[in-house]
Amino acid sequence: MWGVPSYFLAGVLLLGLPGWLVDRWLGTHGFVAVGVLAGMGLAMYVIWVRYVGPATAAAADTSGGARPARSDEESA
Amino acid sequence: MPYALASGGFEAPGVSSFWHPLIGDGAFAITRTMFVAVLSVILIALVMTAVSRRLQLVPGRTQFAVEGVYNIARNQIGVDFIGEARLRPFLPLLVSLFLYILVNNLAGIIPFVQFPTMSRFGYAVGLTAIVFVVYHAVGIRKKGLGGYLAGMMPPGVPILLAPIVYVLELLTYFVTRPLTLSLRLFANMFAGHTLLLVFALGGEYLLLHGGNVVLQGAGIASFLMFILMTFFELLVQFLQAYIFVLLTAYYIADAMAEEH
Repeated sequence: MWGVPSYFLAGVLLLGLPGWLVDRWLGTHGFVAVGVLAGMGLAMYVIWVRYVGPATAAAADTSGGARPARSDEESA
Repeated sequence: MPYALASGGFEAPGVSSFWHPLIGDGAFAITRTMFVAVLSVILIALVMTAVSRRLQLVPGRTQFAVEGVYNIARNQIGVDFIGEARLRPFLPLLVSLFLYILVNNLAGIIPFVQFPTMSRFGYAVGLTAIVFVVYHAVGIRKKGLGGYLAGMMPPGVPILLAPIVYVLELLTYFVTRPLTLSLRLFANMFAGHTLLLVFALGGEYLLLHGGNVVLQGAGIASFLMFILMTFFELLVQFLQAYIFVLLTAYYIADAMAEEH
């Protein structure tokens, strides 16, 4: 899925950037790594929610061209 | 930056290889990139009007090719993502984007033109700006500003995680989607063109100034790689145009989606 990179980038920015700032303030080194990893984890979770988990089940009910509905149309 | 190899005056291709002012210089120069972009628009307009004036039930070769490109943007991307019922208002945008990006990418390997427009970041940013405005406008028009912003939250997220997931979604919709869309196109075209330049210019230098048989042989190998990579670029150029339009359709469909 080509839309996935934007989630990873957003996750890394969202938690990696504060981690980097904390490192700069406190003079430490570990927080940026923790932030980046946690951000990627969060991004993976949201990708799962959107493309695999709960959101796809909801999308399958409504008609329209969104990705998940397609397989239903084809099998019907 | 150009730098000399140990053997002497070889200038490696770099960022400077993408700056070709034709008329004037500085910020207001008419560049090779502009020339290619305008040329592509003229070419597309001529071919499309010529073909659509003489539409035949049994298509000729040109009509067949144009219909093929149109079908990719309309059926493979548009119908698939947006759905036939809602596709009509977005069809001109999708087809135009696909044609424009495809022709400008292919310009990278068309003899004598040989410059991919999208290897200049500004052109990719311009196209992305159009897409950015369109998908937000579509979403706001369909659901209202509040409804659109609320609709960005995916369903089924535990309440504890909801705030941070929502901020992540906001960041995705407003920052990283346009960022990745423009960067992907630009970087692929920039890297591809640089690669071709390295093999072509390096091959030429080795062959003409190599001085001994081994280096001249390496020059010939470099030219062979140049030909091989040109075919590879053909694939990348098509793929990047396809992905750009595919994501445009996906973003529009996502902005209109009624669930959540």
